[in-house]
Amino acid sequence: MIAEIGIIATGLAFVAAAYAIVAALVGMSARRDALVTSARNAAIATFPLLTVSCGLLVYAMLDHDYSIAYVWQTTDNNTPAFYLVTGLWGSQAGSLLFWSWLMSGFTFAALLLNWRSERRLMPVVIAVTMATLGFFLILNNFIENPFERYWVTPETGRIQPALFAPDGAEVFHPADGNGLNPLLRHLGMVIHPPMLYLGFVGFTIPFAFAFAALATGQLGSGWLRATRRWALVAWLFLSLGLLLGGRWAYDVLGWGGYWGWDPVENAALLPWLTGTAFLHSAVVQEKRGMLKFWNMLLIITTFLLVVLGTFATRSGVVSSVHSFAESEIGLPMFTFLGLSMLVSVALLAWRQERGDLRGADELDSVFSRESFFLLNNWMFLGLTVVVLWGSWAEAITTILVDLGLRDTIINLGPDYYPPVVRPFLVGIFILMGIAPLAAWRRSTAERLGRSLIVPTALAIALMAYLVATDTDSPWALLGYGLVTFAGAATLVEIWKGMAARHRRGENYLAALLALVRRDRRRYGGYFIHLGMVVMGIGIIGSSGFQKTTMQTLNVGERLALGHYELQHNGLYEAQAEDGRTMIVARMAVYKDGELVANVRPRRDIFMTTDPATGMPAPGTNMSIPGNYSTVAEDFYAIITHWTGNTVTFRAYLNPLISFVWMGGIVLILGTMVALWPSRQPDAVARKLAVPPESVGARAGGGD
Amino acid sequence: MSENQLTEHPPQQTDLPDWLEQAAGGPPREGAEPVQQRFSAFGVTAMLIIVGLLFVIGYALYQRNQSTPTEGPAPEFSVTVFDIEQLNRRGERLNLADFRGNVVVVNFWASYCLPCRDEAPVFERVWREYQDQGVVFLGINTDDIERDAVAYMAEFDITYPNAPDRGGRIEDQYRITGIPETFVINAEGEISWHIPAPASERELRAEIERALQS
Amino acid sequence: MLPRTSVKTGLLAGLAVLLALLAPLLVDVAPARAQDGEFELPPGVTWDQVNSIAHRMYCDVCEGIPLDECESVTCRLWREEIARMLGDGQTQDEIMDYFVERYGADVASLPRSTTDRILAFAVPAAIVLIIGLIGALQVRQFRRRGRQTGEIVRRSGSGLQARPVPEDVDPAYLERLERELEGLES
Repeated sequence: MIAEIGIIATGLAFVAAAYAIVAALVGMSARRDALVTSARNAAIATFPLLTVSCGLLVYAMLDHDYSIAYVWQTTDNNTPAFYLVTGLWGSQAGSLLFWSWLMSGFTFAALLLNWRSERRLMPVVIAVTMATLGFFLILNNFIENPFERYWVTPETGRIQPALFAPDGAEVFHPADGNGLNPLLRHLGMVIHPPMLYLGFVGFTIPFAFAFAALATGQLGSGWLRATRRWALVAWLFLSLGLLLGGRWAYDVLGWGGYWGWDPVENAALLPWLTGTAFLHSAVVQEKRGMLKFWNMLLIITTFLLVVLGTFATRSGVVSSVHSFAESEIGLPMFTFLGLSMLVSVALLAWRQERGDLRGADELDSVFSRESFFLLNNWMFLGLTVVVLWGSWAEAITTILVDLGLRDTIINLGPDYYPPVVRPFLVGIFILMGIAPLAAWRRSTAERLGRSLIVPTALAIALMAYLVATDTDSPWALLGYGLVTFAGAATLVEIWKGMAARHRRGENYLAALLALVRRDRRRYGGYFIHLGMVVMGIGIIGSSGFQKTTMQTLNVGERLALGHYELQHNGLYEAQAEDGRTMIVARMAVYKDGELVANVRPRRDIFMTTDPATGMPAPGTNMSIPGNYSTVAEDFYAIITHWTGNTVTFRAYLNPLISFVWMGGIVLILGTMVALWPSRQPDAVARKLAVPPESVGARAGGGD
Repeated sequence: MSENQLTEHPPQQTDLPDWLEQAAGGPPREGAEPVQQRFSAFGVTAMLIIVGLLFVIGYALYQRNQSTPTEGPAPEFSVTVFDIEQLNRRGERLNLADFRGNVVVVNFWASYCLPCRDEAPVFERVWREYQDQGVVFLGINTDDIERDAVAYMAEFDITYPNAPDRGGRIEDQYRITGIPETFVINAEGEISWHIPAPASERELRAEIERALQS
Repeated sequence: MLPRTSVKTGLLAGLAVLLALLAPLLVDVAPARAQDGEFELPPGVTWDQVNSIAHRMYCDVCEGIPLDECESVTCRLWREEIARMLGDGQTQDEIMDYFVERYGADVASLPRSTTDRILAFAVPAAIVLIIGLIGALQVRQFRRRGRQTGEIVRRSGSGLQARPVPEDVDPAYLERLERELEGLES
């Protein structure tokens, strides 16, 4: 019953999406408004339909209906209720359906909220969003349908998964499921994919509007204003997804770090980079009418990188720890990627060739704010290119090897990225400090220089202090100097505003609140920059100065790392409710000789059944660290190996890593501030944009 | 039927209200220089990059989706066998092509692989029986430490040639999915049988016989 | 007849040679596995040394995990082999070269040969240089357009429209006006 309704609902969603595309495009070219409205209705109908599908799948999980193959694959009788619900995105088929649901939800909101104000763009927006959704629905319906069930043919006893009953077969109900991959049974892992999906899906909306603007020629800032918040929301979720992924890896995966430059991590980072550039560059178009081509290019690139990232993650073309199981979605996704790339770039090139994207593309001064924003775009573009090369060098050189042009492939691992990424980060942080202090249009080097004296002085002072205290890594020095510069410049800007208001009689705190309330976007931006500065401090500290050691200890022995010592006080075994066997080490952490904490690094061993013998056998083995965390540093220990009571431990000392998490929180809060609805400018813009439609309504009688 | 709202405001004309136009000195001059380029440098470059990228990605996908060859010509390779004093082997170079005309059994293994240990005596036994019929057994040692591999061979008294898979090329060519994995290649150099699991003695003999007869 | 002392010396020498030949049996020089399969580090080698090399390498069996973090059997054996090689006095470069030669280029985090390494960094450097050039050209082009003082040149659609603006207009007023115009543009 559940599976049948689920199949129908998902199928109807696909039909609705396909209809919406046709109706919107036909309605637009034949100038039939009713068709376009009908297309919109079909498009927004996909959301309730997919809500039904997802809801049914979740219900099936909660109900332990193992006849549905997906339920069997991702849950078992011991799975707690929380993971039954979140198992929706635990494996390929379900996570694709979840993706489609999110996409339909965003489209639902975007179409309804912008229906009146961006009426002229709507037909193409509908077509583009429904084309993207439609593609994923093809996957959901025909290739990875989560409602496949197990059927048993009574005579032969053969069990097979299929969407519809094979001849003479009945539904088969296994008594228990397979269970979720133990690595995924963690809160961080549960939240991380939805955040990333929200980020990815979120960028589809600005892309759809941009595409519509290119297609219809409405190349002013209307599309940009309509999607400014969407882009920021998408960026927020993408940032959250990246931060949570790092935090989860640090807490649970036990390798002492939070970012490995893994190709799939990079796949999520790349659209974040171009998305960040887009958010900045969009400001310039709104304020000065320039960089129109850049904004189109950036949002199209962001969308294409989103598709590329999804493809790379799920098809297994890049070797990564994030590998999904083998599936057949590789070729369809590749086709979609290829089509999107060709069509969107062709459209952009056509418009550019006609000169339609020429805005007020001129610079009054190289030291003006728009000049720095332009430079910012180039910086992020360069960064994107070098990271892209790192991920795809192996694939490219494999072709050269197979063609006989080379002997060996080139594989680029974590050692490649830091040296190539640093120069760009230097540039970006300098710009982060300078650009808010530069004026629009006419600006001079002297004026800019004068406002930069304080931040520069502070940066130099800090660098001098670090040199005096024996910090010898030149890159770390430069890094700390730059983050200080950028942070100080931002604080100085905020301070100037507060001081100006204070002179007129307000106290500082009220001044700050008033400033933030008046210009949320700007001050939210400042807070985000401060968040990046704090994260920068943490990243430089924890990657530049990390110490690690690995030693085998008997009970009572200690290992030393920095000014910490770790004493092994015993190993014991325990059972968790979900059947895990835990091997726990009791350890004492001493700092400068004094006991500061007791930590319990452990190994979680999940038992499975050995297929050969049918007996329980150890399956996945997770390493959970014991962590003593302070603001200044983390002392982090994991068990690598044990025999009897002799344990080999690996300990890490991560200086300043708490700043990474704190900076992340500041960044998220800053984004919330920037997103908070404020009254003035938007309403004005919207009112003025409405007249053409109301004129038409008066003349023709409306929709 | 309402007037078409979609073309209310043709995008090609000036987008300023009248009062502002007049302040600025009238409507745009006729015959003003149109901004047209013959071709878009960006467009051409972008298309080239995209096509290149799609080619790379498509090729990687194609490679990934290739499965283990179970028929057709066996991929060529050449190996340098392990130095085994007792067998008087000192790193000779062997090419698969050299054995055209013979039935070749290629077995992928490693010393830490437990099922390989189960099938090792089987392979040695069958090799000794069939070697005078010209059947060649070739063991390919993957992802293993040389010292352990040689010890393993001594443990099971393996006398047929074994070689390390230098550079990991052979395991890539044969796209093995795990170990042990065995291929039987007939006299024409084509794969006659493949098993991605330990081979039982009965199966192995049967497949060798089949290859000998074809 | 040989003198007594020389016979003694000869016997002693022979014994010494015999013992020397038998020594490998008596004293196992290579690091052994203990009875239960436990690996012991060769003298003078620490896990930290092994890990600093292993961190720059990948395990061939598990995808994408550095060798020092990978927990599979193969990786453990590889780390033990690295330890053994360090015990034999080999350098980091020698060890990594051996592994790359034996198992393929995707075992190392950066290419081993200098030419490949230069190539690996040269390609992105070249791309960035080209991008930088285009960027510089764009900035120059924009700056040149901006230098036309007294005029605000606005382009929309395919028409070029120049509206002369008086020199004595206050730049702040001009900026506000521009912003209002942006608001009307749709």
